[in-house]
Amino acid sequence: MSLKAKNIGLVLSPHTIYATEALADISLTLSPGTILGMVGETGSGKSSLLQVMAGLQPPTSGAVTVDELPVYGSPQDTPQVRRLIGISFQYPEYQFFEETVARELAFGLQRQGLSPEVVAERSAAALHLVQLPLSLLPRSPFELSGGQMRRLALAITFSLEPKYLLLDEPLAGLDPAGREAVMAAISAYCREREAAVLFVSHNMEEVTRVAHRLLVMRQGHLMLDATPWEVFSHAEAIQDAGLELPPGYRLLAELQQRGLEIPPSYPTDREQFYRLLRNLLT
Amino acid sequence: MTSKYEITTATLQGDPPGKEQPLLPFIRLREVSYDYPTSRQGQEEFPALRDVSLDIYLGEFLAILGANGSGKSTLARHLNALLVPDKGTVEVAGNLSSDQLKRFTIRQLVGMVFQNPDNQIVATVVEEDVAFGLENLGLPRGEMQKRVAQVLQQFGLWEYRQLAPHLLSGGQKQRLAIAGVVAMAPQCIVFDEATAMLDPAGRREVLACMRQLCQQGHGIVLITQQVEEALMADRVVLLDEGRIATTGTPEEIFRQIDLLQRLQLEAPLLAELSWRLHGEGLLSEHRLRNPVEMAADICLSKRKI
Amino acid sequence: MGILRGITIGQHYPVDSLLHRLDPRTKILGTMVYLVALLGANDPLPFLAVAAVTVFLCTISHIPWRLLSNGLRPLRYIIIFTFVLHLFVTPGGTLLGQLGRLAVYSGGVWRGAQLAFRLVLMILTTSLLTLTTSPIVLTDGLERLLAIFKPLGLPAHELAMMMTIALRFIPILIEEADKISKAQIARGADLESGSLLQRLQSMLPILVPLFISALRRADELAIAMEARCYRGGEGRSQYIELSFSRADKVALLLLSLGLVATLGNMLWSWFSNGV
Repeated sequence: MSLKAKNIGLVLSPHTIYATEALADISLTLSPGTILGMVGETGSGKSSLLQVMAGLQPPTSGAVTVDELPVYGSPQDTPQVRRLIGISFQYPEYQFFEETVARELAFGLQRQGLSPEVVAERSAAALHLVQLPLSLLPRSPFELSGGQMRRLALAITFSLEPKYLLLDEPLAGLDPAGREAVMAAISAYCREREAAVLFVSHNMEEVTRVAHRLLVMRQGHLMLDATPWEVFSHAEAIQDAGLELPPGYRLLAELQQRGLEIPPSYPTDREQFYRLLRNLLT
Repeated sequence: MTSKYEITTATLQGDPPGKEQPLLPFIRLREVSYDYPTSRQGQEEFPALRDVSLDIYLGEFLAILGANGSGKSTLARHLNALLVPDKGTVEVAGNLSSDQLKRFTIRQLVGMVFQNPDNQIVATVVEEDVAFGLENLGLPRGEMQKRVAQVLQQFGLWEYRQLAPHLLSGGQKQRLAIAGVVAMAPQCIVFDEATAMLDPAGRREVLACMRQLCQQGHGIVLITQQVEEALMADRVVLLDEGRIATTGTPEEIFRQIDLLQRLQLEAPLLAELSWRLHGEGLLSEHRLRNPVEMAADICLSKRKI
Repeated sequence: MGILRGITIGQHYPVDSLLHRLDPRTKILGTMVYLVALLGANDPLPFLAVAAVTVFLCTISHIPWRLLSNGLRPLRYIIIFTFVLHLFVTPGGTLLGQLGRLAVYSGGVWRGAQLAFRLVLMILTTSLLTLTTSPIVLTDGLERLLAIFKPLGLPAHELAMMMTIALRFIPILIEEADKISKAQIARGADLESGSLLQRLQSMLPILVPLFISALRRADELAIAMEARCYRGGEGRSQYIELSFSRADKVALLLLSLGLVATLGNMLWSWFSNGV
């Protein structure tokens, strides 16, 4: 039971002089209960890969399966495939179009043929997960603050209860408070639904906070696939991929080079960094 | 005009710290207050300003730092007369922005680069977009060609001059936007969250451009909510709910971790760690450090134990 | 990015040729005269003359024939439809065959072929204009031609600026529409099935966000333009130099001759039909 991409290749605008290889021979498996982080610079193929895995962009070669079901199989399977996989694009709040938050939430649920009661129930549950009050339901989605909009967009994806969740830059453009709230919502969903999450970003620091494994993309190739800590030891590969090692890990690497012993469980938030250093110094 | 200039300088308080500064502030804001006429739906990104007084100098790198809704973009738009204060005055090299006839001059003196590179490029060819501002200034063709060639080379875009802008990368597009502004020969350039939509590589490109322009004597104003970016400024202004909360060198600002937290800003990780470790008496000094310096100081403290 | 890299709006094909070097104003006027001549050429002889001019222009443009014929492809059904329609509905001439109630006359064959060819020639020549002229030069030429009508209140500069901005944002909005429709499909939108009305309704989740986004972009662009000292066409200079070369003068002379011949032909056929 997993979302699997096997030897994915993707050529955009094939048979023209503009033909570009967006993805080359990429295989990966997303299993329930895990959070995968994917990092890479703009144009490295992250978003294309996400769309291929979501069933929205047929690959040129290779295959995608979800729970053994081919994602690009017969049209009869399509509704089921779509229900299993949820995707949230960059700046998802730009896709709002309804007059009220309630109708915005109901849009996808109604199309699954659910009864009004179930629609209301699931909408409320999704708002609760992202910690938005029910009093927002009759409001216009365009009146919300930036952080609230992003959380509503996530709630819409959550309400469809996908087992596999693909998120493209879910924290882009948010302030620290907004980032915290969104991060908490993603972890909560993953925990409660035992869902699998693929979290795409160009910021290594934010991905590291939640990801169990890190994938590094560069020019359509999957460069590294390892635990965050292992990835951080490849400083050169990170630089080549146009990314930046977060300052906290640069500090740890520096300390290690100076002969200090860093425990194998690496810190993922500020509190853990602080405790690690305090232990070192006492 | 000059005499008026000098009399008011005498009443100035709080000269900017660091380096030798030219004597006169280039942009001078005095008790600027502003309210948006009617808050449009979903447009809360433009909060009000309250009694903002600020001097900006040429050759200075100033960062204006604030959370969403602190009024930083509203402030930025006052610097080149895109907005005019309800109360108080904005003066650019002696030109008051309240004077309709001076606005064109002000916009020539203070250039502006915005957040979304796609939405500030006008023309369908790179070269022609650089010329857009020059055409507005009514410059003769020979002069335009000279300047276009010069800035395209300066910002590494010469080989792309015939390309359609949507074929450029994010960093390149933003460099094109900067080139279009620099070609107009402004003295001061305001970057309104100009790195927010870029990836690390693009961000590095654009920050390098800013540094280069500052060294050439331009005044640089960087509007940002990224605390790490404000570290490279000469002076930082912290904005909160339309008011200036404090100003100082990055060093002075980032020592005040509690203040940053109160203003919904995330202190740089290493600054916060240094502050907390120092608070427990585990690190001898609290100051800004890069990872290498921090590691060295930690090793030093450890040896002492 | 990506998928739409291949799309160049206006399809400018930058090679060096006499046509490429001509002033855009000459080419715009030329296209207009050509279209009048084409519409006026009803008899075989003038029609062949116009066709010959087209072949000549295509040849000296140095644009591959494959690219020119590519431009015809999207409209091939309309061309075929035109031919078939006139084949059956135009009476006159000798009866060539009958299919139930449908009769085909020789007049219909001639008329259908003429109209279909007229469409082909029209498409070829107008795409020749955009293929040999970059969009920016084209809008500049248009702006300066339209400036003649400025005293009558025609906002020549504003029209040209609108065209430029439209050309600039079309690729961005196409890409955005693609992304939004994918996102809405992922949310459960069904864009493919249902009646025509249902399908139109199902476009709303795409059109509304696209429209909001276009407005936001327009808003930001207006501010950015103002910040770069834009204040309309007054006091603006122009970066691109347009000047009539010797080739332009020759072309304009030939065009005037062509115009006289066209008008003469039209008058002649009008009188001969009238009598």
